[in-house]
Amino acid sequence: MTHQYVELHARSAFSFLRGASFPEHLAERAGELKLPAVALCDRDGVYGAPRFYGKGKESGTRLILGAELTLEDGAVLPVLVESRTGYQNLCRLITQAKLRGTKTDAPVHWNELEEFAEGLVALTGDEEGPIARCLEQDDHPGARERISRLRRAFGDQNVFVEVQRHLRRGEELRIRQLADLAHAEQLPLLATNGVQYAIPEHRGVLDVFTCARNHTHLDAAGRLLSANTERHLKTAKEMSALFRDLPAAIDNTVRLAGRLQFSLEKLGYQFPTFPVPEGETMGTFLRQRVLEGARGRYREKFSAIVRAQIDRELSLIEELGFCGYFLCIWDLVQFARDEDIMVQGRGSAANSVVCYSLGITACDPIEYQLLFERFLAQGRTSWPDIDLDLPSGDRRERVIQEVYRRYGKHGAAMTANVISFRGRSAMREIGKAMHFSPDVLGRFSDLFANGDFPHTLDLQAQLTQAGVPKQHPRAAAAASLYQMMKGLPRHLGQHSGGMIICQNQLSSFIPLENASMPGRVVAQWDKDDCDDLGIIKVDLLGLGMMSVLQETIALSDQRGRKVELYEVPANDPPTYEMIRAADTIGLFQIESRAQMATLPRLKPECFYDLVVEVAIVRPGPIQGGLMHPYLKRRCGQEEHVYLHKDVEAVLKPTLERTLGVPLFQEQMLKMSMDLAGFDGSEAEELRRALSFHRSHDRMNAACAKLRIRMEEKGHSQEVTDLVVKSIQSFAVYGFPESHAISFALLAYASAWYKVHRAPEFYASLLNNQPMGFYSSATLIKDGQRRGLHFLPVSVCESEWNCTIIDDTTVRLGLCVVNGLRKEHGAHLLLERMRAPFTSVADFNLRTKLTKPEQRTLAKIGALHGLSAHRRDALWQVELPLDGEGLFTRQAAPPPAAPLAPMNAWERLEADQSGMNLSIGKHPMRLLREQVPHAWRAADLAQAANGTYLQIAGQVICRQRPGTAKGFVFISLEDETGVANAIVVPQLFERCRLLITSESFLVIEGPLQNYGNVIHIKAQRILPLSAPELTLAESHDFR
Amino acid sequence: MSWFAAILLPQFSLQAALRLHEEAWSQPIAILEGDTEKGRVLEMTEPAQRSGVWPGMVATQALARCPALRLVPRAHAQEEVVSTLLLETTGTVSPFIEATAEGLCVADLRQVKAANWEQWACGVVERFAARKLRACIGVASNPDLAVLAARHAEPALIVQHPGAFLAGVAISEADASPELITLLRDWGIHHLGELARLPRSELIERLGPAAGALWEQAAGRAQRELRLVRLPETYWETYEFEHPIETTEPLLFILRRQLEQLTLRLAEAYRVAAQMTLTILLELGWGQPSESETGGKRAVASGRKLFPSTDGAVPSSAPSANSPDRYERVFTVPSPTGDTEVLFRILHTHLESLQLAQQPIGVRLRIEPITADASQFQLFESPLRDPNRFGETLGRLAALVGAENVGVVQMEDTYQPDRFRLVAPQFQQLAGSQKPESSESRTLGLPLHRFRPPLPAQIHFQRHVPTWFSSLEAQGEVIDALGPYRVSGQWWDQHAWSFEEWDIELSDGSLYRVSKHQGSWFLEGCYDAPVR
Repeated sequence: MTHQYVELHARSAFSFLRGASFPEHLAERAGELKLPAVALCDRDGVYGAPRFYGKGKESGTRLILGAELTLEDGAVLPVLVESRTGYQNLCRLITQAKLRGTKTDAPVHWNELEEFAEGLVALTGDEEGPIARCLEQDDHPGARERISRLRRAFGDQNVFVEVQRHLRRGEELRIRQLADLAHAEQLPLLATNGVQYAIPEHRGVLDVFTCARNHTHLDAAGRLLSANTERHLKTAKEMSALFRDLPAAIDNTVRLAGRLQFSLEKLGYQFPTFPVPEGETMGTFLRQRVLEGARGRYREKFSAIVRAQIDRELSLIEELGFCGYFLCIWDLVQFARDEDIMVQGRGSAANSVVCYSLGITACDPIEYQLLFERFLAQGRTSWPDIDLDLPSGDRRERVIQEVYRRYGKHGAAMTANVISFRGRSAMREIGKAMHFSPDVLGRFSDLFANGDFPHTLDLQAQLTQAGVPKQHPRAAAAASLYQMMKGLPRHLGQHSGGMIICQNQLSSFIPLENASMPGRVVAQWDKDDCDDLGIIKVDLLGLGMMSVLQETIALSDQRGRKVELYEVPANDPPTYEMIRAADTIGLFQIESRAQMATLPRLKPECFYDLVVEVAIVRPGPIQGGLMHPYLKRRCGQEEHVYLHKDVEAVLKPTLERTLGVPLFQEQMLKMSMDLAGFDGSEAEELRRALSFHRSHDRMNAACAKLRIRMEEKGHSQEVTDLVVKSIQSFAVYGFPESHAISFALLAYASAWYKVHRAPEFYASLLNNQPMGFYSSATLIKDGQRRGLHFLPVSVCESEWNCTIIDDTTVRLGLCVVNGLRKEHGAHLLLERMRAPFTSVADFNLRTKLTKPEQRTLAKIGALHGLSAHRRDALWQVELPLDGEGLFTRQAAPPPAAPLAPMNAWERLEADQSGMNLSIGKHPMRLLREQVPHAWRAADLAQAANGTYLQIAGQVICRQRPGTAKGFVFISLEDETGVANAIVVPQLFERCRLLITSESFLVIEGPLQNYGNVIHIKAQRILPLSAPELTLAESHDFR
Repeated sequence: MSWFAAILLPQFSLQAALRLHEEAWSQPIAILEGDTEKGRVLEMTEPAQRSGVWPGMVATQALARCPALRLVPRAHAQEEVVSTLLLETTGTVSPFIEATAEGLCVADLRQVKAANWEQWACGVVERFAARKLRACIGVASNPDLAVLAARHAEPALIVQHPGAFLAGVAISEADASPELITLLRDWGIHHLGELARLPRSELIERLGPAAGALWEQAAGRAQRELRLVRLPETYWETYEFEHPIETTEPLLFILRRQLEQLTLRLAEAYRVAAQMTLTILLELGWGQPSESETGGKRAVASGRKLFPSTDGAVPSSAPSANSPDRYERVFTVPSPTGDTEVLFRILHTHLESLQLAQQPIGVRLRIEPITADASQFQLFESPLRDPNRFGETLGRLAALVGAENVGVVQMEDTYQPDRFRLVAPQFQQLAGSQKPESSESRTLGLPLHRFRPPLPAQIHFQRHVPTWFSSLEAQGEVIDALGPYRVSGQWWDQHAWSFEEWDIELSDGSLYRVSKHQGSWFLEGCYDAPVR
């Protein structure tokens, strides 16, 4: 006898702490169990649906959409989607409740159900359902009344009485009651298993989640935990056996599933159309805007080639129906420009002349011979990707709010960012449930490999070091749970800049909810989910450097030496000289330790070198072993090889500019087109498959296709293997060339401004902190080494922002003072404008700062000019003011304070605690006598290669890149500059805590100087004891 | 001039934790403050300090500096004991004492006449040393000055010239709020001498009366009344044997003497004993396994040779708060009394069957007193006729079957079938009219008579349904069955359990509950049902 069963009530981990398996895992398991369909009913949302849907297509299990709705009385009602109307109603209903409620409490009202019931089918739910809750309290009339409500709302044909059997004592009575109720009401019975995890082994995860939800631990949770492990996916045979006494309940699952045919494929999403003047179509209007823009951009260079490319692109855009999309983006860019907000497109959009002409991107794809197919290709169904870089902070928020204003709260949303359990958070939750002490959990976290470096510390060893040895009775369970919990969703955040918008109400396609940030609405799906389902996303990304450049230009303008971004002279020798010397602190993209170590070897001489530099110091090229061949070829130490001599002639035009090393995604696409005969859309599909993290099957299928097509073209196995390996190695992290060009433009511009507009550039950097790689303290020391003078914060002189005094002098602004509120600062400036401050008492009386603010300003010397020294100011600010300020207390100058002035170390300490920076001596100058044998950073270039020496300094950067095989890079700053050290994995493991917790270090070892890249290969690491200082945070493992 | 003595137990928490482990002072050990994620070092031994471990350091940084460091949480119970010892011992110096802070108290010495304060202070230090405590004593003309002196004493310091002494005292050592100390540090004031040089009135004008009080301290002029405390009303006696003992007789002899003393004191204070805590100190080095970890069989006979147990026997009664160096048990006196004989019988009954793995080196008896109960029972109450006798009977039962097997059943909050624990009977409730609340509100189905322990059984299945059942109690063809019912839990450690249960009906109409546990079948119980 063949059994048939469809599971119509399953929860995934996207029910957030109420389900224990990934939706993908449920889909995969359902496929293994030969279940034809599964209804995913996550709590108050459809969060996991796209993932289940994608995996279900592979495993052969159809997704039935549904959700569990939390009702106002606390009952939980599962509903299933029958039609598109039903889906839209579900999304609207959830959105309405979510936008009305709070993040944690947003119930649906009973009286709302009727309005949104069309196309939905209701089940009566499990033990949390409205009926079971009544029966639990022997409230049979209540149960009947709720059934009636559901019938009224959903209709007689759309209400099913749900029965579950989990092999627990007492449930037979409940099942009998439900069966009687169904009989009395003439409603069909429906069997489900109320699935909460894919396989029995995941029950432990659910129990841990239960503890997390109830703020308790496993030993105390008692009957809050699962009674057994029965709520996993079961086969039709198992379910039929369970309900052999109620076969109709099983049969009804198949019947109902037959009705529920709505699929995410039929979402019906449409991107907004763009309103155009009468007589125009979106196509003609776009063409006009592009041609106008192209003439302005190319001017005399507006050639037939440009025109032809524009025609080609526009006809493809029209054919694919993307005109409205381009116009919407153009409109947004226009808005930004009108509002004086710097904007620049990044990503593959830079491959398009249309985007360049519309002013969306800044680099000319024709000049750089960029491959348009990376952006758009014939046959492509997915939307092109246009990301806009905006200055971070208020200006970006203005653009985001403009999108909300234009499309309404229900028409636009940020994409979600699913916050998952990672190593630390997973063990924290497990540890809490297992009742480990907080100290153990703290130590476990501290022992983590930081940054993107994979775990080198074995989990068991890590547990042991944290205080949970292998013999610990709970160690095994903790380790196993840890593996199961990693990656499961914890809660929903919002993506940093991804926005989705929709022609009709977006809330008809995805449920929306309030983000934690006021004024923001977030969708329930992340950007990959949206992308998979054809919902278009516009990334409005914030770049700190855009803010810096915009401010630098404005400051230059104030001083009559404005140079716009597009006016920055190309090929400026002093700029390249600085870049080659790796003097790049504060610059965009090329300031990291790894970039600095590469610059002296790559020796950029032109813009394209910078493009390569930006792209090459990335995990993809490094892991793919591409960096060293490129650098060797550049130095003439290695022959230029184009992958294989058999295909040299074909690949040379594509790979020549990167010396035969494939660096960019465009090159990968072109290689697949040239070698395998892929067309543009096939090539793009290959790229997408390889960069799609979630599905190995999809990647393997794409590679298999590439192999077949290459073999068909007659390429040897050796060549095919080489090409496939090369493509695979960097496809995941590979950079689009256009993206690298966009970034290199900003990198070069930031370098040029640093050289030629130094005070404006440094002031802007300080005004826009925190951003970039280094702290304000390091930026100031860097500026000082370049001959810039920084004047201290002064209440008599400083503005809120840092200001320029002359070509070599910057006055620190009040913005660098810790704890000084902006509105208090504004009031101070207003009072000063009214009349200069005459004394500390006058200052206190008129500014109305809080006592801590007054003390901080006095401590950092900002009252200099009103007092003899910092302590004098501290003495004076404590003097109480007269009641209403009717009398000035100090008619005569106050007597000198009986306090001694601060010494150098005290001033440094005061600066660090009050501003996290100091324009005075570097702490190392004061600690120098402790380490008389340590070499200064600036002197290291004089030492012979291999010299065993000692360096000492403040740790400003600890890095452990995933590509570095466990090596750790430490940067120590002293009074002369920055010295770098490399720590081998064994030494790091020995000194892990020393390295990660000490602020000052002494490192000994032989010096390595390869092509002016200087490192100490650490052999001994010691702490350098310093009086307690409040130091700026170092850039650690980020 | 009146004199005050401040007695300080430096590294109070560390002393409390290591008090009975002298050898531990030579190891790198640190006490962690607070049960927080970032536990911080509170105090540490000298070897730890030499490795660069400092108070306030987070645990991970301390471990980074000293990988061999052993981190120990604060021992609050031991700190309480040491606090009591501090007050008691100080109480032997003067009746006017102040419990100033943790590990610090001040005594008013107005009634003490000492020709040589130095010598006197050293005598007090020795008194503390006898109690295995390191004390520092400062003697000065006012309480705050004495406290500061105690912080600088090695081990005793008599302040004859306050000005000279205070000049070198760090501001942080004075009694002031952390905010005020931070502010003064920003001012560059690091020592009390520097503070004393500031103009007092201007200081108060700026920083208020708290700064004024600190200035008075700095100037050595702070006079204040002690916040006198009464010595804690603790009734306890302790005795250390000259040599480890082997039989019960010396122990019982000492305990009777101790009880006689204690009941005498109780009678003088019109109090009676409500609870006794018996602590037997054991000869055991730190790190050795505790008696409860050694395992072994239970001693049944009232062996006179109490210690040591050659077969590693566990005590017949579960100790209430044991550590490797002691055996401790709390006895609730069913009907509080001051009768020595009644109290002694309770102890004697318990000791008759106690066996320990280590030899006792001392015994401590502590009594929690209450005022004698003068209430009268109500007319319809039926209290226990003699609660103490009932308690004694329970004690004897515990001696026979083990303390873990005597008490009132309380169902546990778990799905595990028949899981309960025994809790000590509440005599007040037993004697009164209150009835224990039922733990389960609803009972479904037929009453079940459980077999404890369950009886081994055999079951035959056909197509996953029981068909034949056999056990010592019953056997026969299964004509109907309900199940399986599955429950499992505590999967997170070695106590994981899992049951599969069936309710079966045999051909004679009898109903049984059977279960499968750890691969074997058991007859769990018989339903109270009319036979067909």
